[in-house]
Amino acid sequence: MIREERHRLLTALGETILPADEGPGAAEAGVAGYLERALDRRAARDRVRIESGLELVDTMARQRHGKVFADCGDEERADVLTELQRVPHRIVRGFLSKIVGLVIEGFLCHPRHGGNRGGVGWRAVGYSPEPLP
Amino acid sequence: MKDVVIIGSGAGGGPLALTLAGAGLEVLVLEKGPRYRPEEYVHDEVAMAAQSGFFAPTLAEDPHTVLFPGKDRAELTQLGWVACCVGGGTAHMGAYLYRFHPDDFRMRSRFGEYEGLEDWPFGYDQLEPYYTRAEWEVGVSGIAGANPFEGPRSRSYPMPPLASHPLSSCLDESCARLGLHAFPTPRAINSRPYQGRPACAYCRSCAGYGCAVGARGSTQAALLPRAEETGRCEVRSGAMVREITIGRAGRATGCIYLDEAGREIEVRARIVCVCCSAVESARLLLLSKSSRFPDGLANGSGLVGRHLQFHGVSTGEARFRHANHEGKRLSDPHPFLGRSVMDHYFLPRGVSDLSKGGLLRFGLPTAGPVAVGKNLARAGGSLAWGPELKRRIREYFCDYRTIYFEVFHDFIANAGTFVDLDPEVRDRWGLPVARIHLRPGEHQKAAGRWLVERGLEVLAGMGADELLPGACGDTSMFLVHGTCRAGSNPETSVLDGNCRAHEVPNLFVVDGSFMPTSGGAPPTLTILANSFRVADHIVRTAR
Repeated sequence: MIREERHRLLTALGETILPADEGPGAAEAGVAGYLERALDRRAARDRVRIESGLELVDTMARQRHGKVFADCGDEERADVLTELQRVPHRIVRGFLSKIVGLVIEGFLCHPRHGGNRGGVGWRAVGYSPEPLP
Repeated sequence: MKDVVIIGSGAGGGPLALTLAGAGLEVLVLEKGPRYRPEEYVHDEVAMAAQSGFFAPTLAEDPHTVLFPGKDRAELTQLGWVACCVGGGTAHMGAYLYRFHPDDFRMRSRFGEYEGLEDWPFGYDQLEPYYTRAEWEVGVSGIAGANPFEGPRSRSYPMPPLASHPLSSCLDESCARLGLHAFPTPRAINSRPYQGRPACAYCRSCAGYGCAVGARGSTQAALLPRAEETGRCEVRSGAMVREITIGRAGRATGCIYLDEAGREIEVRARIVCVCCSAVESARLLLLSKSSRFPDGLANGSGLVGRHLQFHGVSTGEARFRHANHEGKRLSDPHPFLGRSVMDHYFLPRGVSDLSKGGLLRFGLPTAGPVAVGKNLARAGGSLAWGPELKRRIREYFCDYRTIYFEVFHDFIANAGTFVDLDPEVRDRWGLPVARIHLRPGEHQKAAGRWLVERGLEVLAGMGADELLPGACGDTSMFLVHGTCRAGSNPETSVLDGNCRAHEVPNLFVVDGSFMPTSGGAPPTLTILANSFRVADHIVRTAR
């Protein structure tokens, strides 16, 4: 998957997992950038697993809706994730749990780690950080 | 030539260093991990996550492996890794420093033959003066006598308890109605300035993080600097001990370590103390093979690594919605609830085939938002995402306050739980890693289920809106004991009553390894106290 495509996919996935509502969602918090850096840092074996999971997301989107995940609408995206969750395979379950975990990190980590841009994730969930000692 | 080399700087090594250097002996402390500066102890959950390598080594560098019954392959794990830095586990401990119950020292006598139960070679009364000493040396805050189930004590705590959240009085009332005796959790955190260290700053994050303030009585903050001030104690960090060396007479001669540049350095000492925590201490003995000890140092009995115990861990929590509890000051940001209950340390008949329970500790969650989010995503079985996930996280921070409890209870030693050397996996120095064989017993589950119900009753009595049982009889990630069992019979134990190896007269193992049974409370204070006791013995005999 080329970098640009991957960026679009990660943005779409992030926003599906933690969407904007009355408050900001993953896209506004810069979660895709966080995910890219997290992937680049990961050990090769781990990265390959996540990347093949990402391929699977697009494959599933093409099968069910005839386009890549990033081009799907909200309901179509939710349908793809719901279908993936039904796949009774350890590796697929592991991927979903990992990607949801990474999106949460990118949304709620300290901004020094390159996610949660400007603290919008914290504000979106009502968390007030304590001053770091 | 040093008088004593101490390998490891945590709850085992710290008291030895202070006492031995204070008594005039020349002491060298070797610590495998780094020596962090206080400002490196940031409260950042991503930087401090288990896989960051900050406290425990990463799986890539220095893992353990774990083998479950019926499996033929061991998996890489951080299970049993307490910490790898100056201060050891005390650097990030919750610092809940309870004493064991007098019956924890005589489990076999009290309960009869059951799995690996054994009596200790000494009793509560012999350790009591050292419990007191440990409480005063590291600085424990608490109220003596508030826990009616504690053994007799010769002295009060050096400091009053830490301040607590307004909800703690509500918890006290609920306990009183149930006939339970809630007491302030004793913690090695300064409630007022103590021994030149400041009082607690009441940060929101505490357990699991280093203390930048210096208010926590880690060995790094409370003991090692005082040992160094004597001028007779040197702490060398980044020193990975590979082997304990042995002389022709069968005495330990010192050790060989690798420094940060990978150079091999030999240290010679009259006395060697191994204080690496139960898994790593056993591993170091097993790695130290010689013609005299082909199966590992002091392991003629074959018992080094056997009787490994963790702790039973059971948990639960309750949610209190702000809308339903006006007047309780739920949103007060104070971080500590600070209450424990020991009424269920022994079980009524019929709960399990062993009537040993545990100690309940109630608290306010300290998890940061990332950990909260991940827990809520996994809560209730299927993975949550989308508006549902966001709603759960927002509710957590805006709509309710959580009180949780954890129960510490015994892990019973058994034939299926032990440490040996992994035949395949090696650490970054090329040495075989510790392989943990894990088979927790049925009692742990049965006791856990019952204890969780008791904890939830207390929270229900506070008017909780939702009760959520958590782990039932799970196994702790750390809190490790038992791998070099102490006893009077060399055929059934590795160490004598003074934690000296039966087979090597100048070798001591001083951490949780000696403990014949795990106790029903976290072991840190007992490890500290025993280390002060062994230090006195070494001083007496070294003269």
